Amino acid sequence: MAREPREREDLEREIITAHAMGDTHLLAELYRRGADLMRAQADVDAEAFLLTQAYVYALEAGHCGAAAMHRRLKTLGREA
Amino acid sequence: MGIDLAALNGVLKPVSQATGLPNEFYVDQSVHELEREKVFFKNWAAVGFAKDVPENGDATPLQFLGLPLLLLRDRDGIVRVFQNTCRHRGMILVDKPTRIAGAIRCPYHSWCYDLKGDLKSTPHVGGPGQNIHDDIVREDLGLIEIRSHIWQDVVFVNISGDAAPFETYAASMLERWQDFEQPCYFGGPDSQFDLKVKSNWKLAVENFSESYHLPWIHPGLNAYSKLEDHYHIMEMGSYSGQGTMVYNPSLSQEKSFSNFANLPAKWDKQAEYLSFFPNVLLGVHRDHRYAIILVPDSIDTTTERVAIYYASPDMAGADYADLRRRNTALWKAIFEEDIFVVEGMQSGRHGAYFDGGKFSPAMDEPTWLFHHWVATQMSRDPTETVEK
Repeated sequence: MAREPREREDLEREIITAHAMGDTHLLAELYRRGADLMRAQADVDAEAFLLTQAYVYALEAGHCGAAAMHRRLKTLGREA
Repeated sequence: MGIDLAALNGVLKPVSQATGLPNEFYVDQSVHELEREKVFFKNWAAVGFAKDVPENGDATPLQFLGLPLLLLRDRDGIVRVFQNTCRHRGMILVDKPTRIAGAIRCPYHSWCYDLKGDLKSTPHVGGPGQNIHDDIVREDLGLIEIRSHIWQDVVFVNISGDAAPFETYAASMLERWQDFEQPCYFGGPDSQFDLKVKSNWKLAVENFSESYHLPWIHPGLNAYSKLEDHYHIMEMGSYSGQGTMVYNPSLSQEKSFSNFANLPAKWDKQAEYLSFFPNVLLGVHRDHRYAIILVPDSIDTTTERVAIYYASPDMAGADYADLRRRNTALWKAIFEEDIFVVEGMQSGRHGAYFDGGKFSPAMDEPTWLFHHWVATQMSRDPTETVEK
């Protein structure tokens, strides 16, 4: 359990750096990792928020994971 | 000041009795704004070149008379023009030329559009992590596509959406140059240049349309293509210009460009130059053609965007780069010779006692025809659909 806050802090730092670099492909992957962390904690709203962020950057970047993210959001009832 | 309708009646008279467009058409902002609607938006105006977006996914923003446009090439290679404005909060979507890898993401709240303009994502629109809402109907919120048509790489738009189809609008020009209705190949970076002139866009049209000025402004050109070798070209309501009977390129002793295919013999020596109304200037020769798009940056500043095209991919390749550079330099020198003229006429339009000018019935008919067209557009009922 002690590992999770550290992992979240590291991830937040990486996300801020990726935003600064404008690396949309990396942002898609980092936000997805964040969504996965929230799923592990069964925090659906936080998962959906971060997965939305991931999906938007995946769409922008033409990331190959965009379709899977879309399906996952649909399953959560968060996307059309 | 606005438009003096009596003065417009003077423009609409036969060339021998007509006066030119009054000063307001060059110096009065209210007339410029009316011209924006009646001359540019109601007709097919040129806004760019398809070569500006050479690869699928390429997008470039354009400002056309204050209207933000987005020129892009979609995944199927189709060139499209959209209003460059997000349907959410009106944010500019793309602010510099870019290659879109996936979707167009609005930089404000990240609504995303695909390259056909469909709205694909509305993040958090129903609250954090909730991307749908009953009142947000994505099918109704795609990008506004502007009616466009590509002809010989020139991108035309009809902003009002109610002009006749381009093929109808341009029918007489297309028929005149049907011999050249064949593929052309952009010469690449060495075959384009922009000229910024401190002049209203119409003065560039006027100067391009007539040959009267050639002996005085282009003495080098006149040395082999004399005034008497030129003829007027006029099509009321569509275009005007001039042609030469003695086109004879001599860029190199060793090498020459290949000609467009299957041209009739008359084009061995003839070349023609048309102002296609409102804002594209065109030249055709047996071995190359060019287009100049006049971008009206303001009432008294214009960017002339020049692009030169050749008859085959080989002519656009590395083996002909030197010859292309010479051809570009030749045209650039000629067009630069015209700058002081259009800028001088712009300054002259501040002369309060100038009455629009007296045309030479023998030499100025192509210019008068353009004035006649502008006056006709400006005096038209704004609700009337354009018929050509």
